Amino acid sequence: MTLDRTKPPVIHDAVEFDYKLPPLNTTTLDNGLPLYWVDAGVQDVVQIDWVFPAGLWFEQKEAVAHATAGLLKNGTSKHTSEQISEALEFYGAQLKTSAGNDFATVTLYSLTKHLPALLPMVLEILTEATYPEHEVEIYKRNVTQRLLVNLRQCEFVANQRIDALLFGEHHPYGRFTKQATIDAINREDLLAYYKGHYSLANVRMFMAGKVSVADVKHLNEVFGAAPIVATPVAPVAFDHVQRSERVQRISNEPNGVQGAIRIGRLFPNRHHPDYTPMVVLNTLFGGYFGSRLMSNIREDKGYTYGIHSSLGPEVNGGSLVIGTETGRDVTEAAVIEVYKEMELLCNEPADEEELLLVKNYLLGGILGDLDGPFSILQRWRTLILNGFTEEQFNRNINIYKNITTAELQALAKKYFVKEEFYEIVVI
Amino acid sequence: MLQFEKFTLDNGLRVIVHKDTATPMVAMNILFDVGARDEEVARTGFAHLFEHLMFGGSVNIPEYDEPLQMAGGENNAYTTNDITNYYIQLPLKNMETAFWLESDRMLSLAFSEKSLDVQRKVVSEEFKEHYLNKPYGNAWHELRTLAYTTHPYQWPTIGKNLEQIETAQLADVKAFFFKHYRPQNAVMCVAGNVTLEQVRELSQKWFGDIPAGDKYTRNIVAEPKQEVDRTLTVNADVPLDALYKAWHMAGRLTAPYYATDLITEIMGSGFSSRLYQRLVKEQQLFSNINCYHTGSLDPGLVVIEGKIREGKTIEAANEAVEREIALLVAEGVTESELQKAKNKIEAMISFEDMTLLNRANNLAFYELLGDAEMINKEWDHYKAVTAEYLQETARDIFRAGNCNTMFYLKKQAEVVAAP
Repeated sequence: MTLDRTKPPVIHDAVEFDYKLPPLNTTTLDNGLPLYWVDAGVQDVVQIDWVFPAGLWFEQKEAVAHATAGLLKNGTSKHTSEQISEALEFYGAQLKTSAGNDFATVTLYSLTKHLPALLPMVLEILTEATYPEHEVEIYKRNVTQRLLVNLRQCEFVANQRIDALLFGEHHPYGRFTKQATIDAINREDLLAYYKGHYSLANVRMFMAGKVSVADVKHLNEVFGAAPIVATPVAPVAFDHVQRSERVQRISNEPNGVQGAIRIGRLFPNRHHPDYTPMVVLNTLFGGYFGSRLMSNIREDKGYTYGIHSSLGPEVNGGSLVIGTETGRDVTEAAVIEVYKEMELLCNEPADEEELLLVKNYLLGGILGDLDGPFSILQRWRTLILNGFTEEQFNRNINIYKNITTAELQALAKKYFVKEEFYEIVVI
Repeated sequence: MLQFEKFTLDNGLRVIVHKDTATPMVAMNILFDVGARDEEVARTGFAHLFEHLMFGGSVNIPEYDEPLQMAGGENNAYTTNDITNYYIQLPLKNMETAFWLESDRMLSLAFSEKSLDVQRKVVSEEFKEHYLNKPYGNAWHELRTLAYTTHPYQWPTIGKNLEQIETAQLADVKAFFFKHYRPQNAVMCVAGNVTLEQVRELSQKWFGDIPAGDKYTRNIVAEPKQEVDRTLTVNADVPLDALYKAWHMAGRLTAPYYATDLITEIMGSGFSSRLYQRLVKEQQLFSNINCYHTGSLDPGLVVIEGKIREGKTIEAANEAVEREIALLVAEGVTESELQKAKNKIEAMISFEDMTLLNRANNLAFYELLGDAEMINKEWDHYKAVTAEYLQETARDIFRAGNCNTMFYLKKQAEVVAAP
């Protein structure tokens, strides 16, 4: 019997599968701190996140949130920066600290067996950081030098500018790093931000990996014994300032061979009923390799190595941004094609087969994600930090499975409105 | 310990099966024994361009990505100087879709002019995005050419220049396919909640009748031992001076490889590493510095690279690096440093094994090296490295005459020609 290779094997649609978020354990430590944890996987590894309300949203002075996170482990009342790095790295562990738009996150990656040796040092960093003067100086200089290099890249400049266009340059989501703001920060700013925003009273802890109640006990012995002093974080609000020109062209490198294109609009966050349907529409439009944008602008025209559209949900709003780097001669042609693809989605419903493909692709990806401890935790963390429960996950799955081409077209008409998009091309 | 079983089809395709009962997904990894080192000097970048063409439709299936996405799958590929690797992850229930797609493109491609035409442009944009339109983007082109006089590692996978990519012809594509993309030049790994019998049956069904083709025999002239230190100065429109130093090291399948890996950990990986502590924090000559190696199958390079702090001279920075090297060679490392480096490797191995795709990829890679079982011996190789052996290895690498230094300098306020 010869094999008919033109005939594909039967495909089981991912929309027919069941999706269940693996369980999350919640433990309250002795001092009342909440710990969320997931036991999964077979490798003896663990990830722990400490999440603080210390993102850019809360900073009073620009560049402070990033610097406070960036210098967190560069000195405590008991140890120097070098001693801290040595203590963590000796065990093959990594401690990453970063400030995002809303939250600052400290993440420990380690072999599970080394947790007891590492946790006291993490606690010390989170409660006794000192921000030594010379560390602040080295940080400022090295960040400035990195900025100088980054500013020579069109995509970096374009990313900065599109956020500023969408939110306004003074809004926390629209701010971007400048040499002057780095120059202006000092040790006192960082210490004050640290004291006000890294209080354990406001931390949320997330742990995942091959972990057991014994590891929870280790965590409780260290973090459950720490004193908690209520440190309320004052709510902050920002007005959306009047924004500038909808369309901008910037010349960054006179001899650049490519241009970076960003086309974006404000788009609500996860709490809005249009958010999850937009995940589907956005995927179809520019969110995966087979998307409309990729098929047209990369695979048909060869203008670019890649083009993507993505949602940027934050606690207080969000955005939808299309981004690509193209040859400098075809930037304007690519911009036109992006709007054409939007218009097409407004004018004609997507093909049923295409929507099924997008659903299967999206759900197949979720199935793969539900496999590893870290990605399971990531899903739970997003739910918890946004004030959702498992119900939200199930509701989203339901939307992914059942959304129709008519609903997508209505959504496109509502949001793919050219006049509401800001665009920038940086060469 | 990673468990696996393996078999070989009559046409020479090697198949590894890795069972993981916990996952609802299956990973299929196909590795071809061809990389940029197999290219001709006048056709560089071809292995990578070819990787793009593998997605342009095969003899019986016009569209590769669509059916895979319909099956809830994701895929990608990458090319290195040594190998080309393709991988898929999809729900277990749709495993056969992966066999169908991958076997058809191993049988033969569609060889479409349109696909070649578009991918030439796409790869040209990739070249521009990563190598031309970025400060320091061409540094590795320069460094490879400086360090390798003979071996094809002298060019990067993207290719020497845009012209060679832009002039690739369909005839070249066909010849390349039938020379390198034959079953006997490939290793496949299937990982997931599968049995050996299932995989054997599907492999036989879909891959069994693909002609074995001719065995490709690699005939690469080894890089002659470097006897005299080389220096290159590059002037470019960049904001900061940068220093790159490269030394020839031993190949992937030799004992010094593991000691070399540990040396680069101790010298330049992490905030507690020697170079970071002494040259960024204490002497403040660099704003950042890294030490790593290229990890290639044929003898690769140990590299130290960093950006010079504004106000310091590159000569002083270079001397400081050389002092650290001399210190390493003269005094070796402490037991504590060695233990730290080993602990890092141990953690890295565990983290790497977390995802199904990584396990499938690694098993295929080690089978290509000779035997998938080697993956389970790696940690023992690292554990066996003593401080004495590490110092001996350092002495070999950092011997006089083996060093390539590139001063990558910012141009002083003048007009820069278009690249």
